[in-house]
Amino acid sequence: MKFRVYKALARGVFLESLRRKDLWVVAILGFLILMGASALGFFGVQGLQVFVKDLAVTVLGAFSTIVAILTSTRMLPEEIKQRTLYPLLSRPITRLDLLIGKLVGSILVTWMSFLILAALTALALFGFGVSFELIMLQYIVAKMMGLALVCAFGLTLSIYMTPAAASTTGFIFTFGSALIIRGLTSGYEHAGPGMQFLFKFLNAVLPQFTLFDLGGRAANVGWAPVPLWVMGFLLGYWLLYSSGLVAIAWTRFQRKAI
Amino acid sequence: MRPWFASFMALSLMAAIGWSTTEVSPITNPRIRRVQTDQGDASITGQFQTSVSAWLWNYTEVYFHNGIKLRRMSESEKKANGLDDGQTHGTPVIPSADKDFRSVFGDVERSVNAWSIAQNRKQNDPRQCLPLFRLMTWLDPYFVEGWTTGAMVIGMDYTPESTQKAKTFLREGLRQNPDCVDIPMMFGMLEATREKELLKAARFFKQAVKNGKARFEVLSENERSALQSSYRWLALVYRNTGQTGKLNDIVQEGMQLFPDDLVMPSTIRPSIVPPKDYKPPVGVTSRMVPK
Repeated sequence: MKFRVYKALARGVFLESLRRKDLWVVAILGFLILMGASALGFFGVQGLQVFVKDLAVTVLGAFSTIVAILTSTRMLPEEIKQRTLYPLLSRPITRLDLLIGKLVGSILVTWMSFLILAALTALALFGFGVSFELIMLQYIVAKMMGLALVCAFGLTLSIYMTPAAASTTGFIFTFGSALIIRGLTSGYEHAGPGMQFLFKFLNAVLPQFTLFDLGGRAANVGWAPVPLWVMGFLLGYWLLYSSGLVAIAWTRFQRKAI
Repeated sequence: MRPWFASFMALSLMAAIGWSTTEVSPITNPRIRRVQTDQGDASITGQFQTSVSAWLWNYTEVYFHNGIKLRRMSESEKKANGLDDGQTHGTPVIPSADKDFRSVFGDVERSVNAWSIAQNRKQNDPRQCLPLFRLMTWLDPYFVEGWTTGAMVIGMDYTPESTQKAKTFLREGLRQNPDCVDIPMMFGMLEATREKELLKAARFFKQAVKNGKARFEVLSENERSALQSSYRWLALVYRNTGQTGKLNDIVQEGMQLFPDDLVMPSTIRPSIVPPKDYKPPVGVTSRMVPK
């Protein structure tokens, strides 16, 4: 029963995304990838395969994160603004169902965009004769989990903030994740006991988006695939952290006057 | 007429004027020497080129270490590792398990990234980075360090072919940066050590010295070092070609700019392989040679 509700809501998000021509953004980003690739082709990529591969996973990661943030932070505020939320809530669904359904929809849109961009990137790379290793598959799976986490994060932010603030905060935390974690690990040794406790707390509560990025390993040569326990940990972390975020969002959303 | 057509025409006109006008380029896009990756160009396009080139420069290090990202060791880290020698030492950005407070998060991060316990030992052949040097110097022709390091990488085979390629690369760099110190110094080194063409080498060292003296007050640390090396090399070349007078002059001139240098005075000490016709100047006892 619930599955049908989530499916219908997710379908709505997907159709709305098509109606808003969000996929045009993906098409433009894909065009930029191909343009960049052709520019590199102009100079020749002989000996630059690793560089091109690294550049591709970086660009792919950045573009798909942009799509994830923009999709997830705009859904609910626009439903409220356009008053299309009322007919939805008049149906026999709870607000939690609505949140989950919207989240599933944004994840699907993001995954689809990511796969389109990945296919275009792979096409461009194949054109240059760049070879892939097994770890690239793990990169795609881990990235999809990471993007789903970004969607949950964006959705939660959009419950508490305006769409602009939510997307800005989302960008800061997703693109700055590595920087924040590096700051914590570098500063920990020199910090006092109180600050060390704070660092540990921040490390535990802040979303660790960087863990889902296997790009550095996948782009370079000779690195073995990631152990299965790591993939299992990423799956568990994604599900647990996303559930926590949805719970936080629901706490606010169920009391929100609409 | 549609509004977008007017905007399109205006933009096209501006682009055409900009494309065909070269006289304003030195003003709007001035040449600014960059010898370090954190020094930027003043113009917008220059900044973009410089940024991309700087990114490539940093990327070569990552590429060289097969994806392992390194950072500079702090002073306390250098002391702890017994590397307190005043030099720069690298350490992985992601700390090892014994230095990481994040337990399982740290383990996962080390697993998903290019990270190895072997750290610096897992290095790629520097020659694989060669296309990156070509790309970065194409993007930013005023990035002197890109030219000199690229030439070193090209010529690291020590074969006549690689030396010629390195010289061709440096020649292009010198054409783009005729007033720099590092490139003629490097060129002179190649001529002296690989080709044994001491007189040709002297010409390049003299050019480096001339360029360095002209901007001595504003030289960067790298350029000062290159200038000092040029004086040393020039002194050696004069010594080995028996040009005693010029040797004395250049050592004296170099010592005025670098009074703490220990190499230059040693070139005029008779004990170090003196040429057959070498006669020590009268009154020389230690470092300085009176004119």
